[in-house]
Amino acid sequence: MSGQFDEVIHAPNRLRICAFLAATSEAEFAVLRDLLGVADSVLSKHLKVLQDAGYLTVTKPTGRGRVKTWVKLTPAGRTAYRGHVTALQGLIEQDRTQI
Amino acid sequence: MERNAADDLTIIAEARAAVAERYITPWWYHPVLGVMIAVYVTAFALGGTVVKLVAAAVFVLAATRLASTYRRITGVWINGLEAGRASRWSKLVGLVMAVDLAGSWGLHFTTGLVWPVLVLQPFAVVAVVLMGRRFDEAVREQLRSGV
Repeated sequence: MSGQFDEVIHAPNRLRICAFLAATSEAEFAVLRDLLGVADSVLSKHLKVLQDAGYLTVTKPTGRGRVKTWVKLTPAGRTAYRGHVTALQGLIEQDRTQI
Repeated sequence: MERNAADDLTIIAEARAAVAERYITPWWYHPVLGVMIAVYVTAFALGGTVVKLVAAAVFVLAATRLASTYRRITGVWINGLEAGRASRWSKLVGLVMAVDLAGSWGLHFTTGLVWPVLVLQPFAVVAVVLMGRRFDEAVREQLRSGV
C-alpha cells in the first residue's frame, strides 16, 4: 500500500498529536498539552488546523465538576495519519534501496 | 535542522510510548467490573421480569459511570473493540459474561437451585480481572512495538 504524505500532519507537534490520538480512542486536552509541553493556546491552534482539515473532533461533555475537553481522530483523520505513516516508511525504504 | 522520515517515526514511537505510560488502569477497575457483571448475572438468573429489567438498567448505568471515572482519572480512553490484536482479550471478557449469563440462567431454570448460580460468580469475577489485565498488557506491548 502506498501512503500519502500529508502536509497538515507533517508539523512535529501535529504529528505527535495524531500519533497519540491514533493510539487511543480519545484523549483529554490536558494530556495532549502535557505531551507537547506547550501552552493551551498553542495546542488549541494545532487542534484547530487538524479540526479544519476534518481530522479530529473536539467535545466538551456536560456533567458535574470541571468540564474537560476530549479530542478524537475522525475516520478521515485516522486514514490520513495511516497514509502519512506509510509514506514515511516508504521514504525510509527508498533511502535503504538507494544506499 | 531539517527532519527526515526516521526522525518522524521516532516522534511517533515516542508518542505511542507516552500513551503506554499513561495507560495504567486503576487496580480496582477490573474487580469492580467483575463484581458488576456477577451481580447482574445473579439478578438475571434468579429474578423475575422486573428484577431482570432493573438489573439491566442498573448495570448499564454503573458501566457508564465506571467508564467515565476511568476516563477522568487517566485522561485517555481506548475502546476495547478498537485496540487491534489486544481486542481479543476484551472480546473474551464479553464471552465470559455471555457464558456466565447463559450458564447461570440455564442452571437455575433447569434445576431450580440457587447455589450453582452463586458458585459460578467468583469464577467469573476472577476471569474478568485476569482477562482485563491481559488486555492492558497487550495494549501497552503493541503501543511500544509498532508505529
